[in-house]
Amino acid sequence: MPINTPRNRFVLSLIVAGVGLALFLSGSYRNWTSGWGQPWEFLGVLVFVAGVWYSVDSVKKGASGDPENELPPQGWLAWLGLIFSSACLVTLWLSWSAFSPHTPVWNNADAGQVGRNLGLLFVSWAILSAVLRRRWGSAVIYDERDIQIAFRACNMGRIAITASVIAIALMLALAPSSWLASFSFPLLAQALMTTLLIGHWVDCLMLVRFYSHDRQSAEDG
Amino acid sequence: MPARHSITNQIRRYRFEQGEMTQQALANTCGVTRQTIIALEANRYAPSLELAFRVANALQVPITEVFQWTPPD
Repeated sequence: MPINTPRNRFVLSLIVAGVGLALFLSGSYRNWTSGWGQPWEFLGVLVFVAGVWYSVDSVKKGASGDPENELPPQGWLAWLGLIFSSACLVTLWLSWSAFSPHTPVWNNADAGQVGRNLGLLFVSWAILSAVLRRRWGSAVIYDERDIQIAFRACNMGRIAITASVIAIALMLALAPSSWLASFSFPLLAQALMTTLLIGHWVDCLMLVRFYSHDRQSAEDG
Repeated sequence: MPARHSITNQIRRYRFEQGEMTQQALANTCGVTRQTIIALEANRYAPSLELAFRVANALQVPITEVFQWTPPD
């Protein structure tokens, strides 16, 4: 049974990305020291970005190895968006308690660390997207068909945002006031930020689904 | 099951009549991605009027030679 298959390489790169994300979120490596100051500061995010790069690259090449069935540029970028928005959502979910105290954000060191983590993820996302775009050079990376696909995916993202906002409104309206008293303003702000991210995540998920379906149709002939 | 459209085309045939023009070459000439040409040839995508004209122009044949429309029953 062959081990070095595209599918196995894809799974391995996802595992590496998962380990990188776990390292990044745990943050314990930031206390490791060596002779050069703080060389481990970006270890987690670097492992994560490397894992994401190879997973997206293996997705681009396609399961069949046929260049005609390669994922189009926008599908590639959608995969990247899905992975990074998932990482941002996981970061927000795991840091929920950091926003609970009724203290201003500027006096909350844990909330500040969450903000820096999110900022690092967004910057890595932007850099990786820019690098990917440069790989295509002057080639066309989207056209009228991509716009149609993006429109359909965007509609699903908007539905997800609307549903999430309605859920928050219902929670605020129906939950007991004693329970709501534990809600701080930063926590509500985080809930709304999560809502926006959920919308983008659904958008990316649907894009990935549409492009995968499209490629599957091409492979089926 | 891929969606089929009532607009069919002869792109593949005219591509080969144009000295075996590749899908990528046609895509570059028309300003679209190769995946769009693949989807067009498989009748999985109905192009805009402008793209239809661009394809016909790239293949140097009248648009009605490349694209056909079948009225629904």
